[in-house]
Amino acid sequence: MNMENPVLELDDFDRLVERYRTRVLRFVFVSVRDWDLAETVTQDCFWKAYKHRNAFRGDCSALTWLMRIAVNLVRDHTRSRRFQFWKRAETVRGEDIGDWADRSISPEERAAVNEQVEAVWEATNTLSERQRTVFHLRFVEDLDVGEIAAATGLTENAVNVHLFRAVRGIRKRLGKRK
Amino acid sequence: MSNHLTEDQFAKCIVGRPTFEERKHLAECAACGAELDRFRGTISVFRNAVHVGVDARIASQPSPLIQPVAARDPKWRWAFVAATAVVLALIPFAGANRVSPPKAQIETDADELMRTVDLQLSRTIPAPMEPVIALLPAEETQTLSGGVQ
Repeated sequence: MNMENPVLELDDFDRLVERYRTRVLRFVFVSVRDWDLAETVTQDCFWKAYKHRNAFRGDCSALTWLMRIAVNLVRDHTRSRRFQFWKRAETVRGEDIGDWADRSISPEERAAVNEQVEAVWEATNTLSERQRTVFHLRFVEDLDVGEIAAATGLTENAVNVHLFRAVRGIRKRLGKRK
Repeated sequence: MSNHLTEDQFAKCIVGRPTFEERKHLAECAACGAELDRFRGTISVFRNAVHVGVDARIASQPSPLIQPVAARDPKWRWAFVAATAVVLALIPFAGANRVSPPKAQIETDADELMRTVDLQLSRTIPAPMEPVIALLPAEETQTLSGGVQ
């Protein structure tokens, strides 16, 4: 990896797509909760990155830069009226995500895991857009607070506040299910 | 008042910003430590499920070419609709601008058409059959065709 100079990473764009497509798609998917839309937004994300690759100055990693584009695209989509309409018919539900859990564990353990996954999936849906974004970037994509700040355009302090509220909200929601 | 961590203190610990006192309490209190581990475990299970699901989805598909999705660009879509509307609006006027042939030519064309119609009506057999009929003897021709008018 070209950690010293992230600009060089953009020289081989095919490699960049290959390396980061999964992470971008994963973030977009957990945000929009629709496979087709997630794939379209991911494609748009890389297309925009390709078009504006000369504007990338390397002040953050290529992944953070891609995530910044993805965060903006997700925000645009989730605020559109069309998305609000289709959101009512959510295509991927908590129980579907639960089915993705480790298949090597026993049925009993699996049932417990499915329940936990479903609970978090539903709990994150009740968060505000910003809380959900920072939660996913921190706990699903493992970005640190500085990277999340760069990807979202928030200050590190603001990221911490949103994260704190997101965790408190999810704990409150999970507590209600017991 | 409980000696355990409050919800706000738990949230601070999970986010990774516990104070010295909170860290100390977690080290000493088995119940709070277990609660923190339980929540972290739940988040970890969620994370792993999402990773497994998305990886499986990507593995089942070829890597797509990165290109613009022009059909979804509203600007081009509206340009296409406007162009189609203009073309449809111009169709009725397209015939009006056509140059009419001179009156004498129209009359000539009408006479020619009438002659062709008369010729076709005077035939006793269809035109495509005429070469075949020409091969037969004259008396048979009259029988088959019913005579020439």
